[in-house]
Amino acid sequence: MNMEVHNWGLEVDNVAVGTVTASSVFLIGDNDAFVLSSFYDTPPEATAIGTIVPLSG
Amino acid sequence: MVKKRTALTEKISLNGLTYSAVFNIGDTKMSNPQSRGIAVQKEGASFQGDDGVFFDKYELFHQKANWPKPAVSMHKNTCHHNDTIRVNRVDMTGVSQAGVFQVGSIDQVFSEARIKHMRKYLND
Repeated sequence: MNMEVHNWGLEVDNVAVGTVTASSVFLIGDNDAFVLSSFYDTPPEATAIGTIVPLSG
Repeated sequence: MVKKRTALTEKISLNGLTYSAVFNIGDTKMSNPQSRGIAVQKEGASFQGDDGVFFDKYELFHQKANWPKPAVSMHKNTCHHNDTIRVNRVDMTGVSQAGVFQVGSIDQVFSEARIKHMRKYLND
């Protein structure tokens, strides 16, 4: 397979980002290859009930 | 390897950088950040040094990642008509958990993050 890419120009004014998290990338530049993996587990599936000893009284 | 462009930024505002995160100005060949974390949200203000929460106990940290197969080789010809990427201003709150924020070229990134959240309630 053959591919031809022309980068004519890239100018950006302002960028506002909240957070870059869990194996993410924010890049100003060129790159060849990215391979990113992220596992995330959150309630209600992760809810654990009855494992904590309550405070006395 | 294709020639990389220059990245030019006027102003960067970054508040937080945590947990295997990378903020880099300059060129990079390879980046391989890894992070794993367990966030415990707990009812009642009872805290001890050891909460009995360990990575080994949870399936999430044992599962094999579903990495994609290596890409099919191909011939790519890139032509940069302007050798500068310009960004005026970047405002960012934070970079965390194996995240990467870079100004400059980067050849390869392999990153992996595993995060588990859980809630622990008191018995009624």
